[in-house]
Amino acid sequence: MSYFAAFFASFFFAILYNVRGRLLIYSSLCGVLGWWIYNLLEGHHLVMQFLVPTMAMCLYAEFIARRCRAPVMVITTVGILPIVPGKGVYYTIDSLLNSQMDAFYMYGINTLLSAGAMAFGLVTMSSLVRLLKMFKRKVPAGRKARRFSPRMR
Amino acid sequence: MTTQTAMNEKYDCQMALKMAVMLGVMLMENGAEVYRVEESILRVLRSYGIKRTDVYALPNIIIVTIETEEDISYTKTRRIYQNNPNFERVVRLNDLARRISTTPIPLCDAFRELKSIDRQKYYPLLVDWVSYVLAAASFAMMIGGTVWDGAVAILCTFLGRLARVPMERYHANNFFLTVVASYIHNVVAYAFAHAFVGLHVNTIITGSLMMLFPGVAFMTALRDVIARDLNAGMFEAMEAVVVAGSIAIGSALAYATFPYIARVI
Repeated sequence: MSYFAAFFASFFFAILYNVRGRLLIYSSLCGVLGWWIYNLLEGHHLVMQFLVPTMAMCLYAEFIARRCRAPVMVITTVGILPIVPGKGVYYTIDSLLNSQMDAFYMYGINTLLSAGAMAFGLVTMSSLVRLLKMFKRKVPAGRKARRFSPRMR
Repeated sequence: MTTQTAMNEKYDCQMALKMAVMLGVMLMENGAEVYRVEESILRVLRSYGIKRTDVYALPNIIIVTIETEEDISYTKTRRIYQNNPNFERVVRLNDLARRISTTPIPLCDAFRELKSIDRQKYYPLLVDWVSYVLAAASFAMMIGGTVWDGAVAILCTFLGRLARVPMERYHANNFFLTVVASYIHNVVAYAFAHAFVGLHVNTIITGSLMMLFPGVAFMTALRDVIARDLNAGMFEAMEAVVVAGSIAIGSALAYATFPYIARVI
């Protein structure tokens, strides 16, 4: 089953990045989550196929970040590894080197779209979560709220 | 020069600056993101009572200028020469930065903690190599390969990394290293596909090349461009494109030269 492979791929990458403890398991699960949703959306539009898994992974990563006291970025980085469009970039430059311009344009645009969708998903989710946090913090309105910059994550 | 924080303790500005910059440099060297580095430095210095801080960070340079209450400015510029992702250090540094931004800790303690984080090691070398090859195999199997594809991917990646070891000792150019590694990955895959039946060459190559490829870097670049920092984004995007190009060049070379190699064997 490719989901086991996805788990181990994320797991071994996390080891390479020196992730330790429970975070290792949770980040690998994040990878499986992303891969699962990515496969679910197999027939749909390319942007959707990358946007939705990324957003789901960000949500999951926020929860795990609370539990493991880690920055969200670590979990997301390990999690997006299975779906990152590495193949796309490779084929893009490969077709450029072989002067197959049609393939180059196709792969190039697809790669840009997918990477852009993922980046957009990451940025949007983190902004939403930050807004939510600031909203929650305004309610108690302690001295602590004033000490942080508005862009705190 | 000392400053007072809201909690009425005095901190030496220059030492605070040094500590904050050290924190930022360690974050960047261990693979944190540009915005995280900038914000960590900002928060830490604000917590130590510095009136005004300006930070500019790129993946290979950090510039921090502070202005104290006496309207004296100090600046520190640090170049960053390595980027070895070590997320455990990032987690600990982030934790330290958060703790400092809530309550400023004495600077000597902060320096001690930074040294202790610096001593945080990677996994043992054997574990590192084993995970490297197994990650490639898992990737190959994840995108639809069989166990045999995975096995060949293990061999490709192992030989590829083995070739890098002597060259890295002599500080070979990164671009060149990637070309050679990609070449070896491809050639070994082609050799096995030539010798045995039933192997999916594309799967093996994609799986093993995934280890060389900075997929995350490309995405981080786009994220930085969207979020706020065009300079850092362009920087990282260029880096990702160059590495991808070197991988593609290696593959093209392998594809072109393999018929000759096959005739020799």
